[in-house]
Parts: sequence; structure tokens; C-alpha cells
Amino acid sequence: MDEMIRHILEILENDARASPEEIATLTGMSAQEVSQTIAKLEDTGVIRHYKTIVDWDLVGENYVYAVIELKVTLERNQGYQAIAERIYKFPEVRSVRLLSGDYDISLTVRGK
Amino acid sequence: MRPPCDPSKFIAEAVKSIPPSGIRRFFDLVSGLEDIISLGVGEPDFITPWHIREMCIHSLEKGQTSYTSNYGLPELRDELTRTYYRRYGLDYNPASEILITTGVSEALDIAIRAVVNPGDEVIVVQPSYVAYVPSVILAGGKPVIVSTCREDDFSLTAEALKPAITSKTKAIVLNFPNNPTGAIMQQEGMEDIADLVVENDLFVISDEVYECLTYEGTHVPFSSLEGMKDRTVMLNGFSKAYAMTGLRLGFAMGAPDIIHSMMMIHQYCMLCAPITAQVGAIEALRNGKGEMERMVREYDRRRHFIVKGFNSIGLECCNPRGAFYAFPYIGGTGLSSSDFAERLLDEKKVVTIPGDVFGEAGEGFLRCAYAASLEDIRKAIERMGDFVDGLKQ
Repeated sequence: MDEMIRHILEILENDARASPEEIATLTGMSAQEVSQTIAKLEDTGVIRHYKTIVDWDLVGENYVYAVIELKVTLERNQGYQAIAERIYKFPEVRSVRLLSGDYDISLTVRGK
Repeated sequence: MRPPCDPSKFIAEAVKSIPPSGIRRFFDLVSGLEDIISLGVGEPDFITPWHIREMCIHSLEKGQTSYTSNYGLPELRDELTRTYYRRYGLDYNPASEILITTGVSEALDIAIRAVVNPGDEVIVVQPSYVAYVPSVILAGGKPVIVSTCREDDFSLTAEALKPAITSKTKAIVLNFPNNPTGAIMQQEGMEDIADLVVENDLFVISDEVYECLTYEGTHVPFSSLEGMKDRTVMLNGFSKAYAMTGLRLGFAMGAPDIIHSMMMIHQYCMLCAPITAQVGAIEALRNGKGEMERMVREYDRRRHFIVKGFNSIGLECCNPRGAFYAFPYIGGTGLSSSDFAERLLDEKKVVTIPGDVFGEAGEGFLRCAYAASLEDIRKAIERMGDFVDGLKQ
């Protein structure tokens, strides 16, 4: 991977709001080069999305999180991907991971 | 009744003659103050990567608490041989050409003691780390200072070195990437120095502890130059590259006779480096590259930020290509390095180290370590900008 792309991704992974000008200062690139590189990374799907980490407790939303481990039986012609896709359509599901070991899938769910 | 005694009269002349560490003096000024931002300490703000710490813990759990060979654990020396062959094609025999030490500080001390006879002259290139001159004095040698300057980007030139060489010159201490300037040496300039070294039959003590923190170009070990391996002892360690300062682990690589002589001193004053740190170092060399490179990239970003920051507040700052120090010029403010640093601490609570601590050639500059968080660096520059503006009024 290009060293500059690695720099940009590490900076944005740490702070999604870092501006092209700020990134330019940290890398020695021009702001224009940074903007073009970010646009390319967005277009090619390397940068999937920008998110915000919210502390819901502070606004009185007392969510509870649970980790659920599932053992599944695969249907004919259907892999784990299809099951994972069905599960993550539930809005309560925050993450889905494929596991090796005793269980097949691990879910994080959020509720009240 | 027996008479009282003044114990100071027992202190050796050589010890009395060495200057106190200017860095230490500055830290004494800081103690007790609050809301301080420190760009003073030359220590990574990262914690030793977990996989290295975990390996140290595991070794303790297994009861690995014994002495090791005086030379250090064979596995560690084997890893170092492999690492330096892979990086530079350098071929050091792990059985006879590598010594594991308690930090680079010990390696420096015993390297100098291994080669310096009383009265020998040792060339120390300044600005540079504060330990070189005292180590030469304590070994009975005479330090001869050669200065680098910002016009040469603080690189050493053969022209600057040549006039300092006399019939009594035994060795030269090099430190690139350099603390405090961040300067590195290009291979071309190093070849000129290697020619002078051969012409005058000198030995080279090359402190390369910032080797892995080279941001532009590629580090060239002095010993990798043609004909220099047997004339050079390379000193290096794990403190800076792997954020392992407190584990105190360094090493020396050189010709068997030199390494054996260093080991002769080491076996009596240190016996061996701490085994826990040696175990951690093996893990660092085997599996630490990714974490190390991540830390280096973070330093690199701070480097860009701090250099731009200093230049934007009117403190001209060369581009440091290695280590984790920026060395802005403050001479234009009319203050000496010490006055600037002391007033900056007093008025704006920012710790920097006055450049003259690293030798007269450092007067007019400040050493600012960017091994601090970006947020602290940002605040420090703001405060320094206010301070510089205040001086103009």
C-alpha cells in the first residue's frame, strides 16, 4: 500500500472529521492531493462510511448490550453469508461475526 | 572522639570535572509546576507494544529470572544477526560480534572505555547527546568538539572534521539520526568521512539508536560502508524504536576483539543485561515490525505538524529527517537558548530543552521532542506563538 494512503487512512480512522487541510499538514501533501486521494478511496469503497461514536448514556438513553453466540445449521445452497445477511437486517444487531470454535456466529445486539 | 569528615574530598577529579546534565537541570525546574506541556523528554509517549510486554510477563511466569551469558541470550544475538543481514546485508557473528547491554548508555560507556587510553583524543560531533563528552572524560580521554551547522542541515562534513584530527586522535563518536537536531547523513557524505577515518587510522563509535526513526531516505549504518565494519562499533537499542526505554536494553555490534574487550568491562560492571528485557527484545525483533512502523508513521505526522507549526510562528525550523526532535532556531528573538527556554517555561508552561545543552553549536536553538500527543504539540505551538509575539512588543 502507498505510504501516503496508509497515513490518510490512519488519520481518518482516528478522526473522521480531520479536514484535507489538517491531513495535508500532517503528511506534507497538498490539501488538493489529499482531497483527491480521499475521493478515490471513497469511490473504490476503501472508505466505507464515516461514523460518530455516541455516548447514549449521557443523553439518558440507557441501552443494554448483549453478545449472543449462535450455532446454526446451514440450508442447502446457503452459506454463512446468507444467514449473516438475514440477521444483520434487524436494527438491534450492531455487529455480526463469523466464528471458529464451538459456535458459528457471534452477534452484538442493543436494546433497552 | 574521632573528627568529622568532609566526604566530598574523596570524589575523583574526573567526576568533579564533568558537567551536570543540562537536561536534568531543566527537569528540576519543572517539578511541582502544573498545567505543563512537555516537549522536553526524549522518550516515546507510546507504551511498549502489548505483545512484547506479554512475552516479558510470560517469561516471569515461567521463572526466567536468571543471569544470562555475559554476551546476552544467544537467541537474541541470533535475531540481531538475522535482522541486520536482512536490513543491510551486514553479517555479524552472533557468537563473537554482538554484545547485549543495559541500554545504549552502557554500550557507549564501555565502548569508549574499551578503546580510549589516557590522553587519547576522541572527536565528538555536536550538537549531540549529552553523554558523549562526560563518557570520554571519565575514560581519561580528551573530547575534541567538531560542530555541525544548520547551513549543512546539521550533517557532518569531511571539511569540518579534518582540522580536528591530530596525531592523538583515536576515535570519533557519530550519532545519526541525531539527537537533538534530527539530522541524518547521506551515504555520499559518509563515504568522505570513511576516507578520513582510514587515512588517519581512526575508530568509529556510531550511536544509531534512532535508526528505525528515519523518515526520509534510508538509514545507512556507518559499518555498512566498504572497509568500515571492523573500524566501527555500532551502538543501538530497543528504547526508541519499540518504546522500551525503561526496560533498558541496548546492544553493540563490532569486530570480535572490540566486542570481547567491551564484554570484559561489562562482565565486571553489569554482568549481563536484565533477562526479562532480553526476552522482550527477541519478541520485538521477531514480531514487532508492524507496531514499530505504526509508531514511526505517527511520529512522521507529528514531525510534519511541528515543523510547519514552528515556521508559522516565526521560528525557523529545518526539516528533521530522523529521530523525534525538532530543532527550531530562536536566535532571531534576541534571547539565548537558556533564557528562551526558561522564560517559556515560566511564562507559558512549555518545557523545551535549550540547544546549548547539546554543545555550543546548539546555542540559538531549542530541542523540542515530538514524542508527545498531537494535541499537546498543538497547544505547545500556540503557547510558543504567544510567547514569541510577546517578545516582539
